[in-house]
Amino acid sequence: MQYQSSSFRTWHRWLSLIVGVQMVIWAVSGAYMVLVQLPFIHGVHLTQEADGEIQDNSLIERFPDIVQQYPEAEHMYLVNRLVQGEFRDLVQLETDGTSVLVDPHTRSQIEIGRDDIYQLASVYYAKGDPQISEVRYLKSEAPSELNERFLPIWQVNFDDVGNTSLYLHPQTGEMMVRRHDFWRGFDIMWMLHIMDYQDRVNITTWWLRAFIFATFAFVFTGTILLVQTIWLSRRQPG
Amino acid sequence: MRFLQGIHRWTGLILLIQLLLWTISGLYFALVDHHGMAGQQYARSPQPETLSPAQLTEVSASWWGDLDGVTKVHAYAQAGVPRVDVHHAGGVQYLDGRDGSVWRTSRDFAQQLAQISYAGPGNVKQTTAITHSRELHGWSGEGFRFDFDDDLNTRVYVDAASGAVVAHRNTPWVVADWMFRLHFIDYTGGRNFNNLVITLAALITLWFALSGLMLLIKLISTGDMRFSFRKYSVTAIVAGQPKQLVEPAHKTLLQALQSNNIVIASGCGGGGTCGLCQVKMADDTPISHADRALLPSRQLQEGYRLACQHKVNDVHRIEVPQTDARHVNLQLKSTKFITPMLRELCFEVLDRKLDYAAGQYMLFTIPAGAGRSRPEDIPEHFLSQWQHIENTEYMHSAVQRSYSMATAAGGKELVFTVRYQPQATDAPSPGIGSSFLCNLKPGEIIAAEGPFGDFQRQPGARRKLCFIGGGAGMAPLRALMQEELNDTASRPIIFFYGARNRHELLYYDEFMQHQQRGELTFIPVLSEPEKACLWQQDVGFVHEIAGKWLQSQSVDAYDFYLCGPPSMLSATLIMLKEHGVDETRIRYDDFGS
Repeated sequence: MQYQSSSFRTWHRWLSLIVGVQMVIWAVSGAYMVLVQLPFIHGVHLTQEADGEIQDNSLIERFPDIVQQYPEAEHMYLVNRLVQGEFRDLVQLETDGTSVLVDPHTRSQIEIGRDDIYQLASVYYAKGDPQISEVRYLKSEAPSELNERFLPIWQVNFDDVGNTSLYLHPQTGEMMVRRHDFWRGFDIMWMLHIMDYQDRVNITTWWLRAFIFATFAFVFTGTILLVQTIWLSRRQPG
Repeated sequence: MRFLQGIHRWTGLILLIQLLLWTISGLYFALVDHHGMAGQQYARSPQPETLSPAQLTEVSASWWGDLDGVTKVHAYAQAGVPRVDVHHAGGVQYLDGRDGSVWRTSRDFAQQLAQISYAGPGNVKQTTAITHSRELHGWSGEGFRFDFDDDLNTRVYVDAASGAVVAHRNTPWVVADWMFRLHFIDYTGGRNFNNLVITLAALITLWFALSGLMLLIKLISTGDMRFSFRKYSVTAIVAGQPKQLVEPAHKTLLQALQSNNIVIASGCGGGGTCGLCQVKMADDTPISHADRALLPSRQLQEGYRLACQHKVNDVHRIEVPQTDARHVNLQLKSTKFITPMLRELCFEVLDRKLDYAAGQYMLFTIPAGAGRSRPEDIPEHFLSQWQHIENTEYMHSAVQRSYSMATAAGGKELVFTVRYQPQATDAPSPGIGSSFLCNLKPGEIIAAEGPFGDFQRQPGARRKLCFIGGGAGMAPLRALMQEELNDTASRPIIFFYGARNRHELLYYDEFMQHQQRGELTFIPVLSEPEKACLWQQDVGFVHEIAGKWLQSQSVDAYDFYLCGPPSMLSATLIMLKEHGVDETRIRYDDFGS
């Protein structure tokens, strides 16, 4: 029996220097994403429903009047929302992706202020006593954890274990996005996994493809060595 | 290092297929991208529809008066039809905005919705009412499937209860879905990458990757990854002929030998696990972990190392053994006590014939198991020497032990003399190898490997041979003398053999016969003769008697062959040095260490 030690082992070793390190990164980032449950990453446990039960169902009958005043409305919602310190029945209008709140009695728009956001965020928050450390209005610059299409938006930061951030809609006060450190960790792992270190979305970069092709060679040389060492080595049983 | 290699190999073996699947599916994702996988090639969002007051005039709160916990009422238009969705504590109630009746999506309306959501070149070719679908994980209820006759085999699913377009599916989506199944190891179609199987796979992969990383770091830190253009020259002695190997410094000796087409055994391809690529080099060459683990100390002392463990620039001269060593199964033919503490064992080689040179040894694999301190068949006249040895049982792990052949090659059998090692005061058990072999019964089979060793006769027609041995060191010396006597022109032989008392003089009668036939001079020496021995010949240590004899000899005429217990061996070596014997004239077999 004679096996060429040179080619496969040498190739495997030198490939490991390049591909192997990325494989470790894939294994570690993959393990994180696999081990931490996705709903937890999404922060389902962080929040609860913040709207109340509708008090006066008959307000629906005012919809035709409201539509006359807001003829572009595509969707109309009757909701019960915490505004200006109390839960009120309000109408939410949606047109081409933008939303407003309207008082069904006066048909005038309702502005959501910093205090409303503070209170709504406290109700949304489901992890016990809400410790809000910061409420910021983000107008033109989104943090890396938020897609720019959500701007402008309110950012509410909590002083808790996962550094929770909730993002609330500036016109309706609805919670749009949840973030916490496990999500941020996931995002970094995802970045490392797809090797797009810029925007963390592109899964088709040439270097990712190149690494995957090299991985085939790495797995191939490793398999040859495995066959040699486990099946054909005379000292190893089995 | 070996532990890490073991982890890396076995986890690699377990993961082999999945690693390939991950790589294949990963490549697919990287080539196709999100857009090619979502099934949305021919999908479009419906045109926004504004609400008109006329569509809302009929809406009445009485429609859902019996629902509890209403949190949201949603009014909108769908393909011109007013709709009202009521979100309540128990879910969502879908209503027809024209009369408040519970919404039912008709087949025709569902097809209209499907077509609104479709931007491709095809037309509906088939409509199927469905209650579930393999393509819609987690969806069940009433609905419709619309098949379009386009190049992608698009199908659009509409949920009847809500009138929602649930999903677009097509052939690329099916391929992508399989890739997700492979990548997430979730064959239910749920694309759940938190499932148990992938969790287990991820943990094994972590071990696999991290052990690989640590191996890489070790390789770098030990300089094994060094790359050099500088070439070094090594002299390799192959079948007695020197060959010059000129190779870059970073290459291993194994690589150098192989690239020079010198045949050398290798089972693992340079991984340091099979132990086959043995070569001999300077005996002070550093011993690697793999050398230590795979080669018996006897061979290490002789300068044997694994060629894959040493670099071209570490050595200047190597000998490539013409080894015929192989694994054989030996079946015990006969076994008998020839002294109170020593047995002669005759084995038959199963499988094939085994060639060896006198003086060589076999490596026995003693399997793990229970051992016994006393053999069952001690002859009556030796029982007195066994009186103080208690019959105990003990557990032992698998070990390898080497024993020299006690006869010259040529016979059908391999003969060994095994000296029983009683339990020393500070030892956990009696000698594992010797007890095992002494308890072996005829017919039983043991695995061994060999032959090994270069304790062989030196050439030279005019040389005389002086053998000095003690105790169980008899075996290789006897084989060498037999081999010498088998030669047509055998050279003069003198044999000094030491033992404690008359009982322990091995093969005494046999050598006395040789002497009477004038084939050799036999000088037995006893160190502690008993009265019953009636001993008339030399008394003392064998090296002293041999030393006295040597004073009257011309030392240059002799080649010396030594074998025996460590103390005897070292004393003899000192004695020979004092008599000015040239080192190259001395060969010895150090079996004690």
